[in-house]
Amino acid sequence: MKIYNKQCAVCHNEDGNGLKGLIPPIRQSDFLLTHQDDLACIIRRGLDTTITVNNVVYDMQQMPGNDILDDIAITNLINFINNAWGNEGQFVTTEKIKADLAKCDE
Amino acid sequence: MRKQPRHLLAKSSFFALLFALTLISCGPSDSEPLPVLGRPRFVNGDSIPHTIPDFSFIDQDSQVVNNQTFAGKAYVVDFFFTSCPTICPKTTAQMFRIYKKFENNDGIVLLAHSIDTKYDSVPVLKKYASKLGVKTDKWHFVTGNKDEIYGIADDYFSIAIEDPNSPGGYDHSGRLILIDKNRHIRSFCDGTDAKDVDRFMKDIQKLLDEK
Repeated sequence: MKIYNKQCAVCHNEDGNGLKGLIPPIRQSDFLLTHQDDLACIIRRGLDTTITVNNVVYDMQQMPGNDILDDIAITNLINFINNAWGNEGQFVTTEKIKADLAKCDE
Repeated sequence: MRKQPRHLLAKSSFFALLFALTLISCGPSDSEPLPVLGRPRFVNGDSIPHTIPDFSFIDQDSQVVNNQTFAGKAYVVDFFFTSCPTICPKTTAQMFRIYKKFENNDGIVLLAHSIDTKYDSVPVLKKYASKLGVKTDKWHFVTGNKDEIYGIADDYFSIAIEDPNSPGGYDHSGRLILIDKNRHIRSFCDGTDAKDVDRFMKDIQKLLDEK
């Protein structure tokens, strides 16, 4: 998937496994499933807080934001990661993503 | 402002290097040895290749790392800081690929310089290395005198400057640089570009295969 490979894979790896205890996995990630409504803002703004994914604490590496991805690109990206590598996330619409993005500052 | 000339110097070295590489890419075949990169100095008519000067830093195990640490070995260098929100996760991920590929080859080690000497103390570097699960002997994460680290970045054709306007407060290049056992630069790549790192790893293998 072009957007994933271009924007995400250098850190999270093409197989979605992340990087040891430094960069969390997206593949088979419990965080992905429990934070469906936060994904759009995380992708756009990045993340600089401590998170726990599959019982591993990730607290050293900030995730950068992706200003260059518009609402549609973020929708496509989320639908990709929600269903890649055996992930079983929901299918999202651009309307939902736009609504999620409107709440980034809340 | 005082840092600006250094930045420009690094930039101009980079373009000189790019030019040299352009020539190289049109020329020798795969079987020829890697070039010695950088602008040579001329002393009494003799050309002396660009050489990495003496240095001394402290790694994640509080051990001194200097030129002797790498005696008889090739090594790969980068500049990063642990709280870096932009390119460092990428370069670290790519350095990790190199680490895994050459994990059992004693001829090559990795050296990552933190350019955030204020925050990246030895314990912070230790934690970072532990999260990666890497061996200190194979991958040194170092801190040290700030001027010394920023100074040696120039010698490695890398940019390292404090810049309040940059994300995380520092501006730096994500370049990975290959140094041979004679302290000469033999190759480099963009550490944020996995394809370029593929090519770089072939260069590493070629250097290790040199007699």
